[in-house]
Amino acid sequence: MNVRSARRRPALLAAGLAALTCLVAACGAGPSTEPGAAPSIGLSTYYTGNNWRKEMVSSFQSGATDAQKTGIIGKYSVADSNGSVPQQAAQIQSMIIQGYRAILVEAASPTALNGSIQKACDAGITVVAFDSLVTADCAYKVATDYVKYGELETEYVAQRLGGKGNILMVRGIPGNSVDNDVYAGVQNVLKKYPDMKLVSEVYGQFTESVAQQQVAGVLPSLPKIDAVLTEGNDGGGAMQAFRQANVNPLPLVVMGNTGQDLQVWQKVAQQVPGYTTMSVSSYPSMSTVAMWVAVNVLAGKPVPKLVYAPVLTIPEQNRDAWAGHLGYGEVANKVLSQEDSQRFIDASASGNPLHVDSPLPEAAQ
Amino acid sequence: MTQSVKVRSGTVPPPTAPKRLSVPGGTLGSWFLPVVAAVIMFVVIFAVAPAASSYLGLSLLLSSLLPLVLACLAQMFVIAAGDVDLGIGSFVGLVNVTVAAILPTHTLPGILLLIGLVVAYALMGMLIAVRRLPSIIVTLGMSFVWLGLAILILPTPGGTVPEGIVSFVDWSPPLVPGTIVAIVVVTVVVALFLNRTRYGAVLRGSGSNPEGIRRAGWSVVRTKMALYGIAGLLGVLSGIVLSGQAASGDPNIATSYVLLSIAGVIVGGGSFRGGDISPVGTVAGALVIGLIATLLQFLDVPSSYQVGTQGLVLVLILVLRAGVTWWRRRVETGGLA
Repeated sequence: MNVRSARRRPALLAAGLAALTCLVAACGAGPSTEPGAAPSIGLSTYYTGNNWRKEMVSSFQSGATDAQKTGIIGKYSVADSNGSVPQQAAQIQSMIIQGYRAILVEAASPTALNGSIQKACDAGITVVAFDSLVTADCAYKVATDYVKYGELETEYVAQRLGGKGNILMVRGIPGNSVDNDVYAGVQNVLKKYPDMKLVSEVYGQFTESVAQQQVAGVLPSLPKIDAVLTEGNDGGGAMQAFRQANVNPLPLVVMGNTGQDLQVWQKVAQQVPGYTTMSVSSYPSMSTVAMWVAVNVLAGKPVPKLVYAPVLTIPEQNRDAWAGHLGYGEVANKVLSQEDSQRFIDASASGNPLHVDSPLPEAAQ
Repeated sequence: MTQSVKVRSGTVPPPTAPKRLSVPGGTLGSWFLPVVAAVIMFVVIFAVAPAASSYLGLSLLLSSLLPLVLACLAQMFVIAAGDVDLGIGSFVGLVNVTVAAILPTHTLPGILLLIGLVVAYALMGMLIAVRRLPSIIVTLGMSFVWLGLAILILPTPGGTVPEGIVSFVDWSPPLVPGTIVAIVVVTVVVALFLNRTRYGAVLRGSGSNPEGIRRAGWSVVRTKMALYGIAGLLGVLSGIVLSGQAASGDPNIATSYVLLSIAGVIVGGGSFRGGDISPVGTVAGALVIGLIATLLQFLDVPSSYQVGTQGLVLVLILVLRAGVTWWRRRVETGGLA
């Protein structure tokens, strides 16, 4: 793919680029494209309407502000294409015009942005896709291993249940790549435990209220449920459905790192002595890791094409610290520093990536 | 646009194109405002980011707008029929998937399928005309059919668009970017057809005054089929161009085009009345809709305000347009309206 595009009118592109660079330099508008100056970084996302995404954007902004203060990066900006794929393509092309040295992409489509991303790569821009990735070969990728996510929670549930019981799974959005991966991980582990049965699946759309409705809808038709597997931002809602139906004993519900999840978990633990579970979701500040990947690439340091960011888990002992730290609609996060990012990069480069991280909230450390 | 085809004139439109048409694109009022808005946007963008006015800058800026322009024109033909097309987004997605997943391996079936899609659009127009069904319901229903077909063809995003289409869409003539040439050619062809040909006048008339068209001896079913067929053809073109740019397929690639295309037509001076549309205005409207986000990005508007500000700019343009319409009517009727 990049081979094909690379031989596409290189001379013309070079001429155009020269004109572009000269115009930018002459007029002094837009970020600097001089190789020596601190690189400018643009972040392109297609949706900022949920808590995870808001946290993703704000952790990039705080990470970038710090990096800007120390002169590591220059100008930075965030653009939101409001759910539209072609508009995100236009957004990336505008960033090329603006002369950004690196573009971080949370992609609305794994394939449809490839043309624009190739144009950016051809113009010498470092492209880093993170979270929802693209297939373009020239882009660096910062990913959560969602197959591991599914394996992790299913393994936990299997241990707790002793390898035997009925499972309900709250999935994300049909056809979504995160959902496909988590589900594949769940299946991987379930194969090892023939006595654990996946008796029902509902789609909670990574949204607490939807998860609650969907679970409440299927509950009357289900046998006794021993555990509920989730995919993030849905565990608290699922648990509410069981509580409202006065199910006793309550199943083991894997939580999804929102303030609501942790508060529900606390409440249930107060009512049911000995009730315990775990909470897991991806790091919103993957955006910051993507920024540090871009900085390293621009500085000429070796970076693997695929860098794994770990999932953020909250075990029993961290529950109260996070519950006290998070608002009802907030998502657990920690601004990942340059050192954190370097750790993930090095671990991925060595072929032994870091998949799980269980930090305490920043205020509690 | 001729006064005689407007509903409020109450007259039966002549089946021939009247001679006094002088401005391609309709009356001054309907296309003038969107064109001014588009020009202002370009001026501001060039002022903020001078690099955008270079050859490369212009092609980067405009290439992603060409499929939207074509989708807006497709929507315009349906709105000209007095209908609304809620299926254009998934239809363009289906074309994209066809081009990315069928054309490379099965060229002839792929081409036949694309032609079949245009015919399907014409048949959809026939169904709406014959059964007098509300277009919103039919096109919404069909949108799921298009999306379903697309997902059947390509369950997960992928595929590779044939090299020929990619390089055709990437065509870079000397001096002026190919996208600008394409936009100008498409606009001129559509405007001349609708405003200068006999059948163009009939098509517009069939939207605003179907009874008159019927009495003048034309089949309203056939005009509706023609309007939908042209919309389908433009939708297929939009999908092909979008495919060439994306270089791969995704059933959901163009879902945002439904509302964007309707907004483009309305901002471009069209109205839901039927027959009351302007090709030049629609193209300008599409550029305005497509450029708002870019403009806000160049102006460094924080991302959390970008979506809301886009909406505000659209409302502002529509308010201005309502003001202009009111003023024109006041002048025309000597201040009695």
